[in-house]
Amino acid sequence: MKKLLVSVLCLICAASAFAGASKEKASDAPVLVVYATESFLSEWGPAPVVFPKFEEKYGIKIEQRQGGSAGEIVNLAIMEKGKAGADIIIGVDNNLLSTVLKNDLFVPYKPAGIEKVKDNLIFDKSYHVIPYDYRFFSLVYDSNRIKNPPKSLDDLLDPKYKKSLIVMDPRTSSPGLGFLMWTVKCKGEGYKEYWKKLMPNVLTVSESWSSGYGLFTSGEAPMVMSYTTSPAYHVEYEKDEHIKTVLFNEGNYMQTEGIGILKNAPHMDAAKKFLDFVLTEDFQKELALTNWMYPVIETPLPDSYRSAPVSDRPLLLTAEDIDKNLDSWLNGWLESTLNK
Amino acid sequence: MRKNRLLLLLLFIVPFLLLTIFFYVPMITVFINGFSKEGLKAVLTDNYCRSICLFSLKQGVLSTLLSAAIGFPGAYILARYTFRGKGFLKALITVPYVLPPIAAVLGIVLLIGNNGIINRALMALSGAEQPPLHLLYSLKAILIAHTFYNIPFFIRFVYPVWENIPASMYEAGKSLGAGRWRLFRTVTCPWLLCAIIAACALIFVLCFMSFSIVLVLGGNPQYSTMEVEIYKLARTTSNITKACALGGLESLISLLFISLYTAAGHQQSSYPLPSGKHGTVPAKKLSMHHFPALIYIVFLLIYVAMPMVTIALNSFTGKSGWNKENGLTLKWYKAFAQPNMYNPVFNTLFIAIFTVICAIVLSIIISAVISRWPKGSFLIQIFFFASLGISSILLSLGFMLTISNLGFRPNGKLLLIAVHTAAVLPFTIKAISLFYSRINRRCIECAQSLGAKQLRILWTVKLPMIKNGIFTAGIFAFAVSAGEVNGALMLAPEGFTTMPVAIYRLIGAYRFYQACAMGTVLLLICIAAFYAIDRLGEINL
Repeated sequence: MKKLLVSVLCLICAASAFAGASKEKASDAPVLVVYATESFLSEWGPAPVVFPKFEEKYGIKIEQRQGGSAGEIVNLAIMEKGKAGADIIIGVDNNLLSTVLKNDLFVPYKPAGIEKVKDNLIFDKSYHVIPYDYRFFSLVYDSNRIKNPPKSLDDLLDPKYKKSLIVMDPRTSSPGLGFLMWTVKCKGEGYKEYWKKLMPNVLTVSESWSSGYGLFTSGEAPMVMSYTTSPAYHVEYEKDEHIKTVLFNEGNYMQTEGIGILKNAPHMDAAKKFLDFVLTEDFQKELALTNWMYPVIETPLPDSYRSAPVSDRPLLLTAEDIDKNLDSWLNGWLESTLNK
Repeated sequence: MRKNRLLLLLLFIVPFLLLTIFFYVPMITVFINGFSKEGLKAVLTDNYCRSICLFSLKQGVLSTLLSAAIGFPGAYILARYTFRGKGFLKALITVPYVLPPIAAVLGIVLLIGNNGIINRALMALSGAEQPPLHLLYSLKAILIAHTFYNIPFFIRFVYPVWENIPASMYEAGKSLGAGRWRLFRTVTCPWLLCAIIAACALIFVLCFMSFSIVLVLGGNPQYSTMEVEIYKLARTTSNITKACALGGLESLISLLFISLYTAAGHQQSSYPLPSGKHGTVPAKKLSMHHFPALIYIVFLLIYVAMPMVTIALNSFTGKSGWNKENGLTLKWYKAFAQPNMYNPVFNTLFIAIFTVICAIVLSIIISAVISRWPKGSFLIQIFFFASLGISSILLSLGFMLTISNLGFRPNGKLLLIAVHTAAVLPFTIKAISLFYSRINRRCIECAQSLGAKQLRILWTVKLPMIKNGIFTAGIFAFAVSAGEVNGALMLAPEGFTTMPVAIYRLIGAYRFYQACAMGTVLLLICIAAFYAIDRLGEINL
């Protein structure tokens, strides 16, 4: 019995030693503790490319903490009340601005290079959240199946598109929420009516962008609500030109992602350096093919981005508006989409 | 001797600590942060909350009944027949567990969707312009996906019990002149009843808390479960109070079924194990005469394997789109030469193997205690199983809070092994204690009288007797660990990605077909592992 117990303990020790082998060596090098979205930290996202550049340039080691959706991370940071020792959050989008301001999560900082950023992209004029990339929600379609794509929200209601569109649920996904806000921005209170008319053309409402776009990729429907940059992936990696997007006449709803420095950040200096770094070409030029978003400063784009048009009519709702009405919009959306 | 006791006690406490740290503390943290009377009132007076609660129940009950009805003949066939490839079939019906829901959804869509293999074949045959088969985006589709997961679950759960019905029961019945039907009614059914109730209760809880499958395949937000609403409240509108109230309500309902499950399982462990060489009814060789059984096996193969096969087929295509003139390619498999593709494979294996070892050792210890203290076993099991009834969305929130409250970051890999162990313990304890509690005391006394030491008794008497339980537990622990996503997402240290997480990330980065390749490799590894564990179990120790 004793031998068994001892061997079990040995095994557990071995496991811990094995597991601990790659534990980072304690060093005195300055660090920066980062919260970022799952897609940013992913092997196929920007982190593996841009973090090493920053570490090399400034000699500061980046410690990444949990991923998750942007909303999840912001909620976590709010509940932690600064106790967790994190410095910055990467991936706070414009929809979350009101939440972070209301909860006094960030300290303002105006990084070097902010003057190079176009004014309409700076969605927080108090500089609590600094934008680093943006894109537009848009209709993406398979041009082999749809020859004349709809050019406006109203075109989408055409009965010939019966069950041809995949959308995402605004309750559980950010592109879903983006599309809902798009309809709110354009239709005002009429958004409910609009959704009621749209539903016959909707094949399914997916819980996340991933499953919705996966369904589109596997040919379930010829149209999906995605981003203006989506076709660029297919051109870049599949040499496939037939996935296209279309800009709508009324404009496209915009999504801007930003970074904020948390209050009580233990490594304030490193955090500021990171924000400066974010607005340099070293960081910005990597975003197109890893995050599939446009850089906020003038940066050469890859060839595939010819298929990713930029809308000259960006639409946005104000943070106050979202803060006040989000609940009622979601409820209104639900009411009008339910099969009765 | 006293020292041994102390060590044993220490090891005995470990599983309780694991559960407490990883499930109960996070849950309490969330509830302290959110739960209040107002929240509960808001939920109970909300019509919509009531209707999703009803829908969650309805689809859960339907999915459970269907899985049980369709799975029942399968349990019979596996218990009573032998045939070539039975080991493979057993391994195959275990793999659906490891498939992350997003992969299962895509597999089903690729099979029976508008552009799925079946519809395309039908269109090519009939020359129709529109897909003739409309199964998806309805309640039907939700049920199909849930039964895809749970028919195999039911079979795996019930057939070992069936197999172990003592032959003497049947002989007694026969000697009293009972016919086949009567034997089935008076021996088999009562004997299986507890196992069936237990399996159904568990399947219900899993379906009740289903999330992405219900939304995507249901097609309309009218098909939303309570999890969807909890997600919205916790992550989109940041109404933690109401999320906690709804989560609490959900856990309460799950808990009801979990107690049913535990009670049924408890009852069942009091049935005697067959003893001796002729203790069980010998399995018959399946031949061409058993036509219905053959048809059933083919059906099961198609139902369970096809969604996975379609994933594998898609991993050989290169481009997306309606016109699949792209030809076949191996490029997604060539990508496994890159560290971001091969590392997840090793990481998953590493975590799964250590989870299996830890879970089995701890379960044997707990089982030993349960066998000596039968009255406490119900409480112990409830303690472990209650963790199943917790909303994964609230759990992950609680988790992150707990970790950030710690103030330091524990070793991620150890933590992940610990969490996976905690997650599988309820099942592994059950699988092992089922056999442990029925070890024949006389055999141990015999060994003692022959002068065998404790360790020797464990090795030569106890372990062979609980062998079946250990291997079932091992397979289960491997499956859960290899397929787990939430914990792996939150806890894994920097750059430590497991395969299910990699699947999510690949799909999230447009790399749909590469994700299919990753999924295929995951499935193949798991089939191989289950098959190997199963074969090990057949070798006599």
